[in-house]
Amino acid sequence: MAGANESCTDAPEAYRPLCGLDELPDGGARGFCSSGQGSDDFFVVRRGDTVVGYRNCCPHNGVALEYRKDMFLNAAGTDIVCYAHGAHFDVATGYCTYGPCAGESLEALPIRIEQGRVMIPRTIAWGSGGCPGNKGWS
Amino acid sequence: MNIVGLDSLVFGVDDLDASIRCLADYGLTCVERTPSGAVFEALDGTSAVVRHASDGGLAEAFAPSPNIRETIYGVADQATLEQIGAELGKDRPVTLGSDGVLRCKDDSGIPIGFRVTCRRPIDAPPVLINVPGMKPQRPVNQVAADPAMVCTPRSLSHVVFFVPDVAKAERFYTERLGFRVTDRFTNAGPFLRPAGTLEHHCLFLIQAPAHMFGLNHFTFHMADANELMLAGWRFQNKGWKGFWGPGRHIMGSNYFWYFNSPFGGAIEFDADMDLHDDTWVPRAVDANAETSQTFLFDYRPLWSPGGKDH
Repeated sequence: MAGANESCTDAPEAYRPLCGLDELPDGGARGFCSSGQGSDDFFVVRRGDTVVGYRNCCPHNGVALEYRKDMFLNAAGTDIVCYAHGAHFDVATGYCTYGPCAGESLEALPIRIEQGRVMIPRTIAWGSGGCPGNKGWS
Repeated sequence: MNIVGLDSLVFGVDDLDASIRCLADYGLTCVERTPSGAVFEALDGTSAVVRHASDGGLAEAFAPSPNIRETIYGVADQATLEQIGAELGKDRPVTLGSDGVLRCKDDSGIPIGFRVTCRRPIDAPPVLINVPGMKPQRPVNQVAADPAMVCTPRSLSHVVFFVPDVAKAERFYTERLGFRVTDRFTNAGPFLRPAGTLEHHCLFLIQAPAHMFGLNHFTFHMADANELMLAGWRFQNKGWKGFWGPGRHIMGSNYFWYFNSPFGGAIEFDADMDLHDDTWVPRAVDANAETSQTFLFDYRPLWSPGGKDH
């Protein structure tokens, strides 16, 4: 998936393993912390052999999406949901289909699958605009 | 109209187990559990009701699930209920259910209900603090800090909606139901107080685009700031994701701590809200970081300065 980290995608060593594909629940989501310490700042969603990753930051007011550890999807697993104000996002694209930030998108994290391992960029530089931040009450 | 505040909020959710666990971890008491949902009470009998979004007994959804499905206000007596029925029956369908709830929709299309309030006296230990310069409240040799203290929410406090036409929404509550505007965020909307309570607000309305229509957040009152801090800290330790707080609001002065929730909006703990009567002159300011709180903190795990070597 293209994104702010596209410049690192040419060199294989620019990616590091995150976990095994089989460690991710098929159809489910899991949050991770890119620094290894602190709260989860990105999450991945697996569907079969496909994994997508997004920054854990709602375009509405810049907060984490999940209500508990790894709870980023609706019960049916069809949508990513921000549990602060109920925004729904398309899993494959991160596009907000309903809610305060309808028409905006989650910031994508490029993911590679190599020999059954989920790989993420060694250096994660979130978008230059940063997390959108609080835009106010609405 | 003698509306005393919120009696019950009814939610339609898509993850019933998570929602029930959320209300239990929040500290409410489960008084009814069936395959279709549960009812959780605060100490005064006010409640949060959770059902699966597909439950046929719920009011019609006005926003994608999960979300709030019905807001039930408590009124002082049968006469008030009849007064409301007569007033709202002038221009909309109003039904009286076998559960004693008078139901209709407000002018935004939000399902609302009214019933003779279920509120009962709160049976809980007094909250006593010692303040220099004031007569001590807590008796000598009685300790205040108790890691095992039970923190049960005392009363349903307020609910907040994103609405597409805040002026129209406000008029319904002020002109038809006698609510007072206590304060106003000029770029968001009014804090509203019904006639039967002095509490700063039980309803806050936020102007928002039509696609945001629905729940913003809801909260019960905790006893005081100490209980709010302890309850919120435990809630986060149980895995619930913090959204905002702890801090103290300026409008209403209530301490706050918000969390993400499986209800379609945030769940808050609040405590120590201001009281106002009809002599209060509403304030009006833009909502921003400075006007939204007097201070703000982040959660952190327990820590001690002891270290290895002291």
